[in-house]
Amino acid sequence: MSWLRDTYLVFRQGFWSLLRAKSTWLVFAFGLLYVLVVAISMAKVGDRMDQNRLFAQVTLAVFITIVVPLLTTYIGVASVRDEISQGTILHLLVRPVPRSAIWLGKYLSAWLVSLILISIPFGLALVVAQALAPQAGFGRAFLLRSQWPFLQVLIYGPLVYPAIGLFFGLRFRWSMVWALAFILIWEEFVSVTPSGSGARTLTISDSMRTLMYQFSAEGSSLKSMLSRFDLKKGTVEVPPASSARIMLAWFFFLALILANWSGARREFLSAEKET
Amino acid sequence: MNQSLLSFDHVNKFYGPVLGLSDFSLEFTGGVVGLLGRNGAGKTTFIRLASGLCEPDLGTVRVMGEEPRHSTGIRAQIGVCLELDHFYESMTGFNWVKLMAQFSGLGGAEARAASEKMIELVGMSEKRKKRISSYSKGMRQRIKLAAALVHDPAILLLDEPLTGLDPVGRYEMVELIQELGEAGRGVLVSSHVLSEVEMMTDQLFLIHQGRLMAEGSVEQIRDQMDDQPRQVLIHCEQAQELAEELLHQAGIDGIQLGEN
Repeated sequence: MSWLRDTYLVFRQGFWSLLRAKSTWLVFAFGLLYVLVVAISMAKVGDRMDQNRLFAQVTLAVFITIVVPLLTTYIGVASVRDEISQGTILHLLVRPVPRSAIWLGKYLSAWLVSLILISIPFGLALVVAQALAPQAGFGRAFLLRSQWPFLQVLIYGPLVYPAIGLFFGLRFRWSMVWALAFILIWEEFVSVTPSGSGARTLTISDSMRTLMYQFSAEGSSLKSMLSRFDLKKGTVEVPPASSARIMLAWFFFLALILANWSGARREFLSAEKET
Repeated sequence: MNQSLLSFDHVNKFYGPVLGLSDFSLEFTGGVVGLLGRNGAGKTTFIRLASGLCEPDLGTVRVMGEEPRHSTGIRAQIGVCLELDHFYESMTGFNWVKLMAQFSGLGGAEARAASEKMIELVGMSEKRKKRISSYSKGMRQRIKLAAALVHDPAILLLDEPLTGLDPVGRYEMVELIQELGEAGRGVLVSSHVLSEVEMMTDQLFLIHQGRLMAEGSVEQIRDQMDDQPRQVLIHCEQAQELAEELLHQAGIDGIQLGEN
């Protein structure tokens, strides 16, 4: 019981700390660029092409590929990075709180903040799209199953990426650089390598795209776009949703276990030495 | 015989190639004891090991018979006032102390009452609702001390608690530390200034280059030091003549003349 209580206390404190941090709102502002891109796209070319397809295209290229991985991984790193660099984490570590409760509490706070921060731009983008292209029915579509594929990203993104960010934050001194390298090299580059190589299945992006594909309605523009990622000699080969979920679960648990292991082993020095 | 509150048994601690502590052994049984040594002597490493922030590379550190790094239970018996000057700055002093009380296992109402009491003890009642970011260095030291005391620990580790305090603040802090010792708490105070430590206690652990050089009262340590070579700096008009004279005296190992 005391372990759960400690986890809750760390979560509560971490949540408000993240929300009060200026850097959190800077990355949130970066996330709002997605809304801007949706607005510009709808206003400029919305009358020349299918608005649903346009919305899906922008969301896939900007929100799912760039905003969600960067923003949520950043929040995961930030949940511990500032406390380590300033040394405030030492105030917790000298208390009778198990380190595992500290790291889990930090993860949960990063998860909730990430969820909030990526839900707002997505919701705003739907509102903007509805306002600029009312005939496409984005308002209705949000309530219908057609938006469900995107919600997969809102569910799994904040679960998995912050866990990886937390691991980088606890394992490496230059944690933000490592996190950025992971997103740019692994998530952006490896996830678009040919499906035959198998490497891409080891990325979070690929698993999320697979889930989105599985939950897209037959014949929808999103499904046809996603199928391009897995075309092989004209045959669409998409792994089943279960294998994508298993891969995401692997990432999630592996990152949390590694974060806990790193946090348990690491000796935290004074603020000056950490920076 | 008093039961040992804190014991270091042949402890070695390295930070890569840098020596923290070397073959360091001591027993601390209670009262107020100063941990005296120059900057970099190993005082902070000692506090970090004793509070469970890090593990020794060799040897064992025990607080009341248990290893603080691995026992959350025993960490509840330790109050630590780190030299570190960072807090959750947007919090009020009261909320900070209360949060630390909760992290130390006190329930909501209990934590609130203990925080009120400790904040009053350190003389911060009037400023308790102000944000920590608005506190002076002295206030921050006091609020750190309140947080260290809030869960009523058996042993208190204070790392340079007088740093940054004005003379009045120093006097009050010294009085408070003495009162804590008189109340039966074990208090270890680190400092690099002998006069500061002497204000609080005459019992010392003297640390130099990661080793425990001497322990006991100031007088006892001075007696032990009589056997050790000492450097004495003399300012005078006729240095050359004085040096020639001194060279003929017994007990002089060498003389070095300065430029001025």
